Amino acid sequence: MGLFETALELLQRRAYPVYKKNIERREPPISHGESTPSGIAVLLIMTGLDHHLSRLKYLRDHASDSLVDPRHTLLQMGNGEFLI
Amino acid sequence: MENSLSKKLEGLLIKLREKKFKEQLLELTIVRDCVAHPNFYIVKDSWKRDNSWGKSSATFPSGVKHRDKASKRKRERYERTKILGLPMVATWISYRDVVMCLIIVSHFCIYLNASMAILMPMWVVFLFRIRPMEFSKTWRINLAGLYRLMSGLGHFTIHSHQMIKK
Repeated sequence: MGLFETALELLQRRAYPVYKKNIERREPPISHGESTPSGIAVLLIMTGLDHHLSRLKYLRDHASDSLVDPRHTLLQMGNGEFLI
Repeated sequence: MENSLSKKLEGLLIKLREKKFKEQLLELTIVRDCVAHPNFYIVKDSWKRDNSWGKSSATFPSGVKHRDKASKRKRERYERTKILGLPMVATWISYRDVVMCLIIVSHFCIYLNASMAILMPMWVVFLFRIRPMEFSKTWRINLAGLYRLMSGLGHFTIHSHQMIKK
């Protein structure tokens, strides 16, 4: 699982239940059950964005000549065509 | 590739009308720095007479300062960022703040996709079900995405128009 996906899962499974329970109280102090997964999620999201931008730059500037042709026969299948 | 994220963002968003957006993204990097490089704060919590929580405040011990990047974008009296109001104390980050981060980051990915034809990560596509032609409706889509995340209904797929109509 990638960085973004892990962050989203942490958010949904760990932070959200605590947020829902303390929904009346939205100012600090924040419960550790909410702040810890939320903090980790921010870290993962920003690291994921950094990684995404670096990968795009690499693909555009360095690997563009050696990339595999994306027009693979499997991707060119039309409607009504099936794999045998 | 070897630059920090802040430098990358400053290199990608250079137009005048992108300035505020760039500042918002830089505020997200400040929040990230608060988690990755935590500072020591003196936090004061208070209680009201009815045993409910009062206001909390956080200050640095004497002699400790923010980095330049953070001190430029910090509110004067609060440990929060100027534009988005995100907390700069690691233990104050809440679910809502992360949802805000997600919205800004996804907005950035959509913007890159629309303006520079740079691919966006698949989670953004799934989360907001975006087609390139819908970029003008991005804010509406983001609001719908926020609603979905806040309601926590599980799957990260939404239909923006349905959510708006409701």
